[in-house]
Amino acid sequence: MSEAILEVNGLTKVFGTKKSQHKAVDNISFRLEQGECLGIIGESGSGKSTTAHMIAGLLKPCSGEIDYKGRYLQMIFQNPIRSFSPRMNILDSLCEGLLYQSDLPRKEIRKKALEAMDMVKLPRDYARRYRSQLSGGECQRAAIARALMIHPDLLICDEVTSALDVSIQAEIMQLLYRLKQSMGISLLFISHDIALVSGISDRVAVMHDGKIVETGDTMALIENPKQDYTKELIASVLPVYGEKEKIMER
Amino acid sequence: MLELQNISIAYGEKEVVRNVSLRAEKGEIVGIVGESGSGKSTLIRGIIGLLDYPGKIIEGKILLNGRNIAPYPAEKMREIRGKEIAMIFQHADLSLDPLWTIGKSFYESISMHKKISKQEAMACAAERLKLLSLKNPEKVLNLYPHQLSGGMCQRTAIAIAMANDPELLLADEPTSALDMTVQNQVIENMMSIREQRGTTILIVTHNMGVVEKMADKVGVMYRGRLVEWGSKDEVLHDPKHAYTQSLIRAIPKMDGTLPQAPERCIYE
Repeated sequence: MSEAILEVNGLTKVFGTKKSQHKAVDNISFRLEQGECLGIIGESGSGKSTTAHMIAGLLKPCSGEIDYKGRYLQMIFQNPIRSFSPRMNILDSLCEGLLYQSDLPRKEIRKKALEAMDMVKLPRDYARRYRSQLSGGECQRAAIARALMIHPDLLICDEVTSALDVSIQAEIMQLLYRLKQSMGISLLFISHDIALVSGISDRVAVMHDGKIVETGDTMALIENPKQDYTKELIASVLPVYGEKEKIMER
Repeated sequence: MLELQNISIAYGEKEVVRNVSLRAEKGEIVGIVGESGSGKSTLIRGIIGLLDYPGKIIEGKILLNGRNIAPYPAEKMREIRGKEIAMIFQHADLSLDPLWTIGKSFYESISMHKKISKQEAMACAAERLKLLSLKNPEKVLNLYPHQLSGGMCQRTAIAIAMANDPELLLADEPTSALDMTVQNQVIENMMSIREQRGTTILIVTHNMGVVEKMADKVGVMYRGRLVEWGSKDEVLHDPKHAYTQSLIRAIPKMDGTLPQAPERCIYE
């Protein structure tokens, strides 16, 4: 077993007042190895985003441990356009993080930003544009470029393609896969679409009502789901021609 | 039942829908797929006369049971809208008035087209909600949109759209904001409506899975044009146009492979 980059133990988050409590995340544990992609699937309200927010430090857990062994981690959000400031152009948005995190001269940071844009195949002349001048897919590329600026060891992708078209979604998935392969970045890939998760994840965790109900290697889990909820999720995927027969056979 | 002949729609100078022709028979479900900006929403908004300013149908005919409704002025469209053609939207919660109970929305929709007492309207509404197998229809009528879940809201919106038994139901991405499991429920609902009332349904979506499950005929839109048109089997099983082929390759599959991104080029 290779080294774990992230270990989560007994993580719990409860929202609400003393009178009415809602356990959004209920005592979950998992580990993520270096360079691995773990997919987290589940419906709205299953607690997957809350988990992501706690790992990224955007929410304080009520109990449990998050042991992150890497240096930096970054998060990418569902709505790419809203994750950029409307008053800052793409170049400034990309540079902002490093201006605070490093002592590099401004010029150097700009150069890095342009390189990051190359990496996600965003044309360099987009640097002076604002978020409103970019399409959803372009904006998500810019968000990924921004996340790459500090060379994170872990990328948390929270429904990153849900706001995008199928063809643009395919582009973003290809891009994330390329980053995982070439830079060895670990991924926590959150989505409600099990078919989408299956393409990129090495392992999958299924969340339901705040609990992880099933974990396993992606294809093993899809071909042989143990829990009823997982079966339901798999059955709810609407297959397109040709695949239907294949899935029916199972 | 519905026939579009060489429809072109423009926003000012910009032509968004170009020369689209298609046909839907009574009781058929027609799926229109395409990316954002391909003009699919504009097309169905054009049919029901809900184009945003300065959108306008600049050419072509929309034949509804043989009548050309394309040149109808706003007042005349109001008589048709809700009665003969109804529409549901992507965000059902936003398409319902937040200050009105579901019952009041029903009453408005029905009383626009016929004289009816409130009690009769409520009975009719409860019956429609039952059609969608919603539990406790009487209770739902007294609730506000924010008290319903996303799936419930969409199903209620479908029930309201069906209030006057329209012959044609237009659906603009009705399941895109919903979870996978809820999405299936909404699809089942729409299919049972077709079964029971013989309603023609025109559904716009970018989800090929939805089209595969419910449509009889499929049209693919790209840059304002209908680039492919045929039965579901023809279009999804044996796509002729390069764009349709790339669109089908881009769909995530459950076999552990990555979806393939289409090449960035303009298909002829």
